[in-house]
Amino acid sequence: MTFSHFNRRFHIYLGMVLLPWFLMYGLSAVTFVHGGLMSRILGTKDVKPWRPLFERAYDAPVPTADKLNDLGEKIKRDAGLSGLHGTYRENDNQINVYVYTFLRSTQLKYFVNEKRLIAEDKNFRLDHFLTGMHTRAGFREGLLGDLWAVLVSIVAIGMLGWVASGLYMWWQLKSKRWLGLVALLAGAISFIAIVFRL
Amino acid sequence: MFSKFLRQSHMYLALFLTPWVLVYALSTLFMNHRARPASENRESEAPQTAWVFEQERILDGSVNSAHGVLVALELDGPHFVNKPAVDGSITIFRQDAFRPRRVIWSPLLHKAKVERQDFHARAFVERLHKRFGYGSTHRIGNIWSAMVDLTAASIVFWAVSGVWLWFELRALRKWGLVFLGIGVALFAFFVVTI
Repeated sequence: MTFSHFNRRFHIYLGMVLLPWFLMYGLSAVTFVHGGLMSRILGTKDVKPWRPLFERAYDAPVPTADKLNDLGEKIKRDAGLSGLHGTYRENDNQINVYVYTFLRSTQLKYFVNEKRLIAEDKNFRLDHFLTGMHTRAGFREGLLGDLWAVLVSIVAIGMLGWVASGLYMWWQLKSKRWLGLVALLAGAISFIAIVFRL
Repeated sequence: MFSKFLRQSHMYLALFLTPWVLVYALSTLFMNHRARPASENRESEAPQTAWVFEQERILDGSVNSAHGVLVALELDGPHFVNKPAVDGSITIFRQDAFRPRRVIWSPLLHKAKVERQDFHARAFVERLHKRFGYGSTHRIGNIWSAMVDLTAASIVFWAVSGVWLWFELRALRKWGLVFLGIGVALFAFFVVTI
């Protein structure tokens, strides 16, 4: 097998294995930029955001601000939930914990004075599902979360690999060199011109 | 004929959008390997996003808008404004790919304090990654957004046209299908489990 053969197969097979991520990033990017349009197309514009899950008595000491996320972790566990979470102090009496997985989001509201915990599930929306996956990154969320982050890095390195292998394949096509060079330079000049004025 | 058109569009579009693909790939790597999420970053711990004092000026009393403030400071360009603070001061964020600035303007005292973020390659590509959406105060912001749109649409096009072009290569069908199957199975596993 020559290097050209290897390079072509690398370009194609990398594309095939990372295709779901590539599609997800492309479609979610459109959703980010045109959120209103996408929610109309997907029919999610009028979806009621939250539905009640439970309400129960709950009591837990409220720590200082820097330990608030530990309380969020405890509330999440006590509610029998798992997933990434964020903890926010809404006001002196209310602490909100958002528990997030790709397919499900839950909002836990802890009312400190009333000693009550209210849970609401978010109704599934395809546009939010896509943007949620797009923004999920980083090594801080347990083994599976870390493995997802590894795949995010592989996709990013894969994109660099596509660029490099694509450039090589184009350069091998002698009849396409000039027009390809025009496209490459036009892109580079446009990019520089826009970014310098941005 | 159709395949030839698809193959050439796939290639020339990729060549044209190479700088954008590089920016998104590099910024994704940076953001994915950030020590902690951006929301938890304190300015003192993140030199690439720390604000550095640049100048303070008393403006003409006739200046009465964010745009007017930027023009007076010779900093006109794409910007956005936060809600006024309790003391009436307004923070104007002057967007800039290399050195963004923020101007804290007190309309009552006619005073403007300018701070900037110094250039860091990492912050630069991350800023470009997160810059999207129309409605910019200046045309260049909307042109950038159009390019972001083109890149996003092209990513979907490369995926679809790539599958088409692969399927035409009979010799690569079997292994291509294996790799596609692995990718879809992995993706589905993560969607369901995290």
